[in-house]
Amino acid sequence: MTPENLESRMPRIGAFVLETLTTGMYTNPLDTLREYVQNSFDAIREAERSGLLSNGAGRIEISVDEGSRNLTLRDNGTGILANNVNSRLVNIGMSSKSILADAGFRGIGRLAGIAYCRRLVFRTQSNGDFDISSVAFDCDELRQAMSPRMKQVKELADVINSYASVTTEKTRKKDHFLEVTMEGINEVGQSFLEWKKINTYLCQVAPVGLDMQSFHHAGTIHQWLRVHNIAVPVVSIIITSGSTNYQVFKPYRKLTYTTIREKHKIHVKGIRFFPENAGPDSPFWGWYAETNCPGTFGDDTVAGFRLRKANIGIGMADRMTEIFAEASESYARFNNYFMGEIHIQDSNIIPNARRDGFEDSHEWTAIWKSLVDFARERSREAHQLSQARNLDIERLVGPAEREIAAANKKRKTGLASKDEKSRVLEKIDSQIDKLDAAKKAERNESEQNEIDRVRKELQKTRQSIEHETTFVVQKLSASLDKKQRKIISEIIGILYDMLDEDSFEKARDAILAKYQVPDKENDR
Amino acid sequence: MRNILLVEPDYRSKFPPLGLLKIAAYHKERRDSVTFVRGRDEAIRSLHWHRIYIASLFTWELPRTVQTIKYYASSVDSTDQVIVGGVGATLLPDYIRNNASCVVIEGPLDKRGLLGPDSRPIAEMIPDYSILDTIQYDYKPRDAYFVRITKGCIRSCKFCAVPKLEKKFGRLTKVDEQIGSVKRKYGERQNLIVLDNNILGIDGIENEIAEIRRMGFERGAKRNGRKRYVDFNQGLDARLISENPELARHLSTICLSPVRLAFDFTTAKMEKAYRHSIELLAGQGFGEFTNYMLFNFDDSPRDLYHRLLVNTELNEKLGIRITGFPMRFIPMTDVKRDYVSDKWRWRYLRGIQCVLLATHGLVSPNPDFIRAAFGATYEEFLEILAMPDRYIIYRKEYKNNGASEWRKKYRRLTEPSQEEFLELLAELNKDRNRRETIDGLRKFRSLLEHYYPNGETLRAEIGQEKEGNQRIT
Repeated sequence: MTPENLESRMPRIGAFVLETLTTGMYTNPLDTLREYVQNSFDAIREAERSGLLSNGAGRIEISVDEGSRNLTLRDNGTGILANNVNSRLVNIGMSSKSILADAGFRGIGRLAGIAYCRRLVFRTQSNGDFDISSVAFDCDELRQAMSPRMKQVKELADVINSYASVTTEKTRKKDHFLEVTMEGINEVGQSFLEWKKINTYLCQVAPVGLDMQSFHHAGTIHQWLRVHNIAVPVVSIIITSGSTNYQVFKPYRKLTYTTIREKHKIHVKGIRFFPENAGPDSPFWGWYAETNCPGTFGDDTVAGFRLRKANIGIGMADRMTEIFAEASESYARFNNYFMGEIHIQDSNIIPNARRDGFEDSHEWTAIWKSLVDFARERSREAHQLSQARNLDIERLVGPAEREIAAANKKRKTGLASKDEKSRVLEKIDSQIDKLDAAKKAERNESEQNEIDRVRKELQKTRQSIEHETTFVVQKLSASLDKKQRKIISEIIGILYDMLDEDSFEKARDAILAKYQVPDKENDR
Repeated sequence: MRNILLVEPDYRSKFPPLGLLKIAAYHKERRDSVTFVRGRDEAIRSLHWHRIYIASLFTWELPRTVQTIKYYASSVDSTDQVIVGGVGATLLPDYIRNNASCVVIEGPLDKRGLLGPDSRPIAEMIPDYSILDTIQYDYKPRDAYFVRITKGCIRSCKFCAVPKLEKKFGRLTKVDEQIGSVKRKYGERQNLIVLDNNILGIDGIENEIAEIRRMGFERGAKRNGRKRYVDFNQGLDARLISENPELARHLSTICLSPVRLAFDFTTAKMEKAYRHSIELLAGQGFGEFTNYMLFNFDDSPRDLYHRLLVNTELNEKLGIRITGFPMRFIPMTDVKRDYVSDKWRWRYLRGIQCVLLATHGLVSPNPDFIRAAFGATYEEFLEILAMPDRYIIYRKEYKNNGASEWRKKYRRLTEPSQEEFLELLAELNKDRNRRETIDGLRKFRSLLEHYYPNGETLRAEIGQEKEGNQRIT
């Protein structure tokens, strides 16, 4: 079978180019599976859009047979029309997929399996057809022909044509599916035969759902998505190997994790979302677990923020680690202190060919910038938490109590201005934050009680400062006119900025003693 | 959609775990992913499971069952998702509760809501045979329908677990419906195994037999050129056949093979009914019989020997073949298998085990075999059982190489001394410092030398008991 349009229109391409496009492109052999899952996912979503499948009925079954060294991946998506099999499965780089709607679109991904097996076979039937079409690639020969070591450069299309065979068989059964079989998997592709590795890989990368049954916070995330009208596409993936029958879910499951080397416990307390006002048209949205942040997650399937596009993982945790490093080099480590996802929604942002990052575009640059800011905030938060946690109780309570005393004195002598008020509030807040962080560390009961007591006091002080609406100037004697009062207020402001705290208070008290009306409240 | 793991602990089991198969069907109906595994599997344990079901069977396998429960405990979110059921769990639920953290379901899964707020009665589900295709373990027989037409039993024998497991006798789904559903879902099977405790006890048994006949199991039935058979695996009640001779005729219309009858009691009444039913069935042309013989309950060695003789006599008289299946009684609450009843001796039980070793627990119907293996007289029978293991197992090799010497010495003992000696053997068997104990003995030293040369235990090839000695009901 010769696809007639190839020879006349295609520019001449050497066969070794294919090597770069397939084996040379992916770092992990299992990335091949991501390509197939992505292809299937697109076909399933297409089937859902056209009403062929009800939403959620999409299924991808991966069966592994260690004995015969075969792996088969089958989906119940649209399948490919018999007439289109040549252009869709044999020709290279001419995927008909729409960039906007589909997750995978580059068409070459389907050949990625060539590197790891003896024979790569695609079988498909589309809904209207009573033909099952098969395309089989002889991978041993293809690998040989496309090796850069080959002296004689062969035409890519010729090579493909020589080692691909297309057959059709009639069927009476109405069905729609695409099946990819990697036959005779070689040593390099060993991980395709280990279903545990497949699960570990796919649970991080594939567009599967959260584990509703086990993940306590899955409901929270779903609820938030509903309220914000955001849809996350999912597909069921089931791995079968011998007696094992296992559905893949995202790896987020537990309320307690341990840090690397199991030194500390990480407690998941809740879920935070960002941006808080996200909607279906926001360029991105994300969730992450609110924890005590004691260190790097020991379970590396959940560690770190993960970027996703159309719910497919892009580059594991590495991309966000780079973004954290961009915020500050020393912050790189903080990505793995977190567990969460960032879903890129902007359709102008497209993954790169290796799907471990995004193509440059100004839309991506914009998101990237906000993510750097986000990473900076998270890093500071993590940093602050870790500092506070390590403080001993004396060093926690001492400054907090000094802050309370200072604030109360301020209240007594009068706040100079709104600015001063907010500065005082800030100081109290930072003490409260420190205490909150400190509480997350494992402390004995008496320490916990002490922290609670001081925190309550801080809270009380904070409230009374917050309710303070009259400032020093307003308490000045009514005999002064507006202009004079303004000058005094400005002087107090200048003194506040210029002097140290003690001198300021001394000076201020001296001024007030002269110009202020006695405050009844203060006499109490 | 959830990931469900079904575990059968790796005890020896002959039939597929039908309870787990039904649970598999239930979960697949809910579109869950179901995995079946036997015993402990590291790869499986390393995965996360939403729920794990663990089967149990014999009480003496409960320690192993508990180990299995503990092994998988870390694979679920919380141990209330580890659900243990089955015969062993029903008989000794507290043993499991006290030794492992899990949910124990006692009794059959025949009510709504046992596995979840809206779950169907699992007992009615058609077992999902497909989960067996994926594992290595070979259940026997592979190509058969397994059905149960009734639950419970009309009798309440004290040695039997059935009255505790299923208190009431009653009907289940009709046999043609059960066979029909399996056929539709998993394809046709060659043979039919009926697992009822006492099938003949139901009213209108002739209709049930007719139904079985109509499903393609008439006498001489073949499928794809191979003979089919119906096996009432838990045995037929000889007393019912003896009371109602018509039953033998009804049974002869189907391809029943073998005919399994129990001869558990040693009363004259029971013996009469047993002999009578065999005669009736032989009269209908049945030639292959299997006979369950409970021992170590309230019987004596003499009773067992007598039953062996009855079978020999019937074989010779009627020209049939009755294969004996001696079943050693173990109390329903024992998690070990070392029970010795008042009328038996440890050495004798051990001797029976040795005699049956070569035949995997069977007593051949050949009268010459019975006489040779068990002795021509009762006295010879007891003497054989008392011999050292290897003298019994390798009778010929040791005949003139120790056995005759042993016999001379053993016969010299008076009857009370023999009793004392048998008692000593039982104690030594449990003794952890056997060698020292023997060194400290003055009596029986030369006799003991035959059992424990130089105070050592000889590795006689007595492994675990064979499947043939296990009987659920």
